[in-house]
Amino acid sequence: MTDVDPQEAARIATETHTESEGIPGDVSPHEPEPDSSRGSSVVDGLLETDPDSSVREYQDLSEPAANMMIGTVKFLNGILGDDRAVGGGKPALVNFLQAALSFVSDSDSSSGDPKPEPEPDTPAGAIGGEINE
Amino acid sequence: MSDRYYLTDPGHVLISGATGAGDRYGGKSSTAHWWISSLIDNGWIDIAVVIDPGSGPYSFKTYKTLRGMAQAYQSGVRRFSWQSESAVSDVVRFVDELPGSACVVFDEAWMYADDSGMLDVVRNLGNQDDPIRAIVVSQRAWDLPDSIRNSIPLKVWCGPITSEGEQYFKSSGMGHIPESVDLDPYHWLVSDGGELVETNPPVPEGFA
Repeated sequence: MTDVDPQEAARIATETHTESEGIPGDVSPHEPEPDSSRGSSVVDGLLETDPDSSVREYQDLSEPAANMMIGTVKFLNGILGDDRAVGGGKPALVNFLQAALSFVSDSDSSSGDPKPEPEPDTPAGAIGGEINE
Repeated sequence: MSDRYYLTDPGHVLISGATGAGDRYGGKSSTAHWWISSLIDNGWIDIAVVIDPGSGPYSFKTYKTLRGMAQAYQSGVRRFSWQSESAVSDVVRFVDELPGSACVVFDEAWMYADDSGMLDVVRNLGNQDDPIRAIVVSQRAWDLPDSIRNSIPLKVWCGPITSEGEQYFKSSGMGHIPESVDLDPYHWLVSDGGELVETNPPVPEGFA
């Protein structure tokens, strides 16, 4: 069994007023810090560019307009109770706002070059023959 | 929806492959490591947990107590490794109590296949406001109970497909897959509901 009830542990975890005091003896000393510099994989591009609320979703808009759109969607999601799990349809009001922003964006096309499309089939940093599980 | 919907879809994943440490093949744990790291790095999930009694390649810090995990969470840590096959259900309950979405890798799942925690994630906790997604890793998928396997239509196989693997595909009603795919070592195929989705190249070596 563990040292503390899971619900009690969660309560400890979500307390907001306590500062971290370190966790002596509880952390394996040899574990490396998370490393996010491992290079890319053929499928990384999609994970990096496909979240629901990303500039990528509004690639037909200029970046500032897209960012505004993301903020608007998040605001509306808060009102309408939408969440990521729903994973899809934007409210009609959002579509209207997107159309309006697109019009604004079209009239401001000199604000910057479009970002290059990610290439999902970039060869992976392929594993050779040395993987051990 | 992208062609690789399964990467970010909240559906659970079962990763198998008749390979193991010291073999010249491999890639199950590496693929799971890459997958969960990518999900949290890119904001698809809020919490990443690895149940890893087999000392896999995971770079997450290892915690030995729930209190330690709780204090680490409080200080901003969102990646945890639990290197034991015991108290898995307690870890799951703890994660379920935290706000936000989570993904749990159950590596060497056969070692604690009877634990209620993994089954609870697969059967119940993927369908809630703060879902928990399971990535179940087991060398032999058929070592896991039907209650686990049948609840995970999204299955990954890390190459190559051995004769033992062919038998598994046939017995699972997916005999057409090994007949149509020649899977190289470290490459991984994805099937969904018994149908081949695609094959992918190896994940970056840094996750091995």
